[in-house]
Parts: sequence; structure tokens; C-alpha cells
Amino acid sequence: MKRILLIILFVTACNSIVESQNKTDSYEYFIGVNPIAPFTSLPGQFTNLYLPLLSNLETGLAFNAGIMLQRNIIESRISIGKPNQLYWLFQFHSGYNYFLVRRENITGFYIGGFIKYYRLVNNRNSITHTSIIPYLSFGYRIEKRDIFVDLRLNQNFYAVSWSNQENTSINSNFHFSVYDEISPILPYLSVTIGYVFKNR
Amino acid sequence: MTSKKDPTERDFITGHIVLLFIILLCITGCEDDYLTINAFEAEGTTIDYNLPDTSATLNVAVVSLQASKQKNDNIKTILEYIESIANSNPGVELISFGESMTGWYAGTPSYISEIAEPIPGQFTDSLAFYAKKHGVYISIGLPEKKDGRLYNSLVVINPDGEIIAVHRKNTLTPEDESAGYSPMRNANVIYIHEFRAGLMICADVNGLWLTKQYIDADIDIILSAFASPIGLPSFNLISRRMDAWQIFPNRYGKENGDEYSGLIYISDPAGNIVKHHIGSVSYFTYTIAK
Repeated sequence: MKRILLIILFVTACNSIVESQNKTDSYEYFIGVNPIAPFTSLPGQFTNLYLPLLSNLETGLAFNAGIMLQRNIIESRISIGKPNQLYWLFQFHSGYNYFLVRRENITGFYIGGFIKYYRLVNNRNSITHTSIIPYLSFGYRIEKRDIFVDLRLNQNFYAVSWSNQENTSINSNFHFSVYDEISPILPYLSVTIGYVFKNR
Repeated sequence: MTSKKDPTERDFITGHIVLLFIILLCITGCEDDYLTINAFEAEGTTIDYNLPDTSATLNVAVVSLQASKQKNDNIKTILEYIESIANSNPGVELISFGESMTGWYAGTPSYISEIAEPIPGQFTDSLAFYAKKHGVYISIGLPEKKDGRLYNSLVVINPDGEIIAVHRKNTLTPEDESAGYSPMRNANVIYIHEFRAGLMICADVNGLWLTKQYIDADIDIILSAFASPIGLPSFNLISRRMDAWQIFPNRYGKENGDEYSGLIYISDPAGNIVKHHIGSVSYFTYTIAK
């Protein structure tokens, strides 16, 4: 029995070593941009109310970068901009996605999870509202030559929020939607177009 | 294998990136006096607001009424409500009514002109009498006639029976425009006891200029008047924007095809709705503090 266990452990270890060697042989870096985010700053009902839902609530300049190793993607996103004339918004997201089906040229469906730091500053009275929000991601990535397009659904599920406003205190709660009146669960869509730096 | 680009292709990509930056700068630099409710402001969970331990309080009655097309019927109802609220709630200090309460909210210019009156006028004289009688502040929206123009106005009368503010609507809705109202750029900050109040009428909340005026004035209360069909929101972004309590009176019922929800509420400066009522003619009282 011990021998069998040792063989299993040995085979698993060898497999891991081989896989890690493959990984180092095929990693890729990428940088991308959210092309919808800048348009959410335009004054208007559609651009302020609904378009943010198609930009993962990112506004202004919104970039992302990451590394891909086989089926694994580690990614960070950063954005800064003015959602309207009263506020500045800074965000930093970081997370991990896993390809469900591995195909040539890293094309396919993936799932993952992210956590974002969300800081909204009222530039008139300097009151800030800050949140830490974990969310789930599900998407599809198409890669052709050095260019990729990434379509993703992002669903918040919890939030911890606080403010420097007087007489307020930190609060945390489940958080699935910014428009509870419309839908209790509301994922955001994100579109990313970017460039891949291949290293094979 | 590392991909390599020839210089022409690199210049092409660089050119496009620079162009994108210029477009982004132009877009983010757009100025407009328009500030709608914004998805970005709703992200995250609500934040707890702890009532300050202070003696500065204000007992407010927020009212939802159903308006008739007949001005005299409405005036009678309004005065009866003031009498009833003041008698049933001896501690009440401010009674707040909705927008354009002396008639239907939407109408033709001839109808609005018929129900509009100057301020001061017969209706505000009656309000002044009751304000003095009960020692309360009264705020109410009404169509106003001034210098040959029609304004959608909000008047505030103090416990001495004096008109202390007349606010004219800055941001008109399509209904206001078809009713023949003129807009007026004005901001009015008044004191109600120790509370600094900024006056707003309905779509004024979408005005960037007015919002900035009130934030700069560091108001404690947004004293508003609404004609609104909306349901209960999960929280109030306007309070959060201005770091102020909002008093949200409204109207109820059907008027010539339009339907008003009767939603009335008070929200704290963090945007939490601390008390509300919806779906009928009603009022409630609540004590705010600072």
C-alpha cells in the first residue's frame, strides 16, 4: 500500500514539474484597454445610468495588464476618471481567471474572481466613499496573432464601504446590484481590447 | 518567439494611442449643467449614519396630497392639513408639501396661468396666517405669476408669517416646458432654526450649478418639493452628494393620465432613507438632528 502511495506521489510530482516547465515555456504578458470607459463620463441619462453597466463601472482611462500561464490568468485593472462633473473615481482590481477549455491561441471561456478597491471622491466637498468589493468573473477571450478581445461578465457579491463623512461608520453587506429597484442581481459587462507580448 | 514590429507599424500603433488619449481628454473635459443620477455613485453598500449627540433638532412633517384640478379645493385641503398636522403634532416645526400643489402639475399654459398667482398673494397670505397661528414653518410648491411669466416656485413662510424665500425651478422638465413655465437660475439658502436649508424643486436635483452652490454653502437640509412617480429607492444619492438631509414631499394619485406614487421620505446625509411612506395620501413626522 505504501509503495502504491509513493508511486502516486512520485507521478504527481513529476507531472507538476513537467507542467511547470511547460508553463515557463509558454507564458504571455498582455496589456489592454476598456474602450467603453471613457464614454461613461459624457453627461446624459444613457451614458451615466446604463453605459457604466457595460464598462464594468470603469470610467475615464481604464487599463489592464496581466500574465497568462497555460490555463491561468493573473490580471490587474486600473482606472481613473470623472464619472460626472462632481466626482473623481479611482479603481484598482486584481484577480485570477481560469480557462475552462484550453485551446490554441488562448481562446475560450474562463471563470475567476477579483477584488476591487473603489474610491469615489466628491471634488466639491472632498468627501470620499471607499469600498472593497469582491466579485466573480465569467468571460470569453479571443486571441488572434498579438491582439486579444475579452468579453466578461462581472458580478459583485459583497461590499465593505466607509466614508470620511461626519457621523458615519463603516458598513459591510451583501451587494449584488447597483439598481436594486430594477434587478436584485446585476452583473456588469466589460470589454477589453489589448496586445499580447508572447514569450515562447 | 518574440514578435517584432517594423517601424511603420510601430508609428501607426503609437499614432492611434496618442489619438485615443486626445479623444479621452476631450470627452472627460466636457462641461454641462446636467447631473443625473449616476451608476458610479451607487456602487458599494450603504454607510451607517449615527445621529449626532446634539441639541440641534428639527421636527418635520412631510406631506403627500392628491391635487384636484380646482385650485380652491386644493387650497382648502392644504389649509385643513396644516391645521390637522399642527393640532395632532404640537412639536412640529416645519410642514413640507410637494410641488405645484394648488393644481394639477402638468397642464396647458392657459390652465397653469389660471391657477398661478403672485407671491405674496391670496394663497400665501392664508398660509402666513396658519404659520403664525401654529408657530410653524411651511414650505409648499405653487405656480407663480411674476412679471408676465410663469414660474414653478417653492415658497417658505416662517412662524411669524413672513415669506423668507421664494425659489424658482432652475431645471425644467418637458411637462414644465409645455405648461409654459420659465426657468430661473437661482439658489436660495435659508435658516430654519439652526439648520441651513437649500431649496430645490424636483428636477433641480439634476442641476450641476445648483448642486455646487448648495455644497459650497454647506447646507444641512435639502428642502425640496416633488411631483414624482418613482417608487422607493434603496438609498438617496442626492443626500450623499450634498452631505445633507433631504426632505422629500410629493403628490399622490392620477391627474389627466399621469400617476404619482405618493412617495414621501426623509434621508440622512449618508443617503439612508430613515422614514418613508408610499401609495396614499398621507404624512409623517420625523426629527432630524445635526
